[in-house]
Amino acid sequence: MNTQQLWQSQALDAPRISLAFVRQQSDTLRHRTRRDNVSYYIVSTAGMTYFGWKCAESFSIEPLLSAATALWIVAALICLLLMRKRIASQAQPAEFGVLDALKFHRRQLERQRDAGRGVWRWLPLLFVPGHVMLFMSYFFEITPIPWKGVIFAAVVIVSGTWIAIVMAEHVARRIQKEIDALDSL
Amino acid sequence: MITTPLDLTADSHAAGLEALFEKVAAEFAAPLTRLARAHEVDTHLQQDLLQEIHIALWRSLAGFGGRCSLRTWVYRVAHNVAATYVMRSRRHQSHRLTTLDNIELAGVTPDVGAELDERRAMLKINTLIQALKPLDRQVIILHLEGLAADEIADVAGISPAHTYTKLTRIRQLLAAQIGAGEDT
Repeated sequence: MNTQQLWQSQALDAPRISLAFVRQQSDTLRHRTRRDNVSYYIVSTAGMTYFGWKCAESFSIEPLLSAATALWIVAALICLLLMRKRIASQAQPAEFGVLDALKFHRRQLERQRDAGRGVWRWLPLLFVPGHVMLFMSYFFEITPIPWKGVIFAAVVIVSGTWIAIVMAEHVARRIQKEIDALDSL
Repeated sequence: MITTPLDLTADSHAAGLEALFEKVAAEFAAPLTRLARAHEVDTHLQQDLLQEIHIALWRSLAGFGGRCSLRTWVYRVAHNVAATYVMRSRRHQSHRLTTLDNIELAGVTPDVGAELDERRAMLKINTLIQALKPLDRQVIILHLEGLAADEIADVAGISPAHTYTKLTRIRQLLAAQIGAGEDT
């Protein structure tokens, strides 16, 4: 018996996987992905709607604060679109050979790594107009100037931005480890 | 209920896909099981990998346009899933995978003797396969499944010349590992 015959004789008890089971697994995966995406967009839309409503409601009293909220909503929308463009997963074509599959997977990881790694360059800038408008609101719309509120807002903005950047960098470093593991194959 | 021609087309397409999948599942049950076994030692994880392969096949068959043989398509999709599986599990492995050219360093023992039984031979083949990098692993498995060099090149996405070089090396390795009986 040669090695090919030896190899091919080893799986006579090959299990059968039913079509119903495969279909159910495939559907479950598709539904889960769709559910995650839908819930993500629902939460985003709800948040933006709420702040949009608050923005419209307070426009006549505090127009600068309303403008700040509107600018944040626009920034969040741009952020959503950019992130979707940069890191949305792409399905790997089934007809790829193993080398193409490896390259494709590496490219996907690189896209996600680069999106996370470069976040500090553009993410804070998107929200800067809203922040500026908020402080203008504090200085021009409220008398006397609420210094505690100003300091609190500054701390929240700086720490929030810092946390977002650190988290993105952390994810980028984790993805880089995956790329290194891939390169070591 | 009124069935439109469009529904009929969709129904017959779905029925055709189901029949094709049933055919694939029946015809390739043994090779796919061997493939899963070659990529994963743990029997429970082998079942998981096999399920992943079947799901990928089910999802991909709609895109099978007859551009290549069904066998090539099935092996391509299955090995694609297996390569991704190896990449994922590689992060949790403590040992390093090697290439065909460096396999001697991984502890090959050419002197296996005449008393080697099939079980020991299979163990040696599986040990060899699991030490290899994904591309080399794919080529050796396809060779053992009896695919011709051109077909292996087609499935793996490498040139025929590269495939021939690898196959020569594989034959030498298998002959050294198992002894006599390695055919061309």
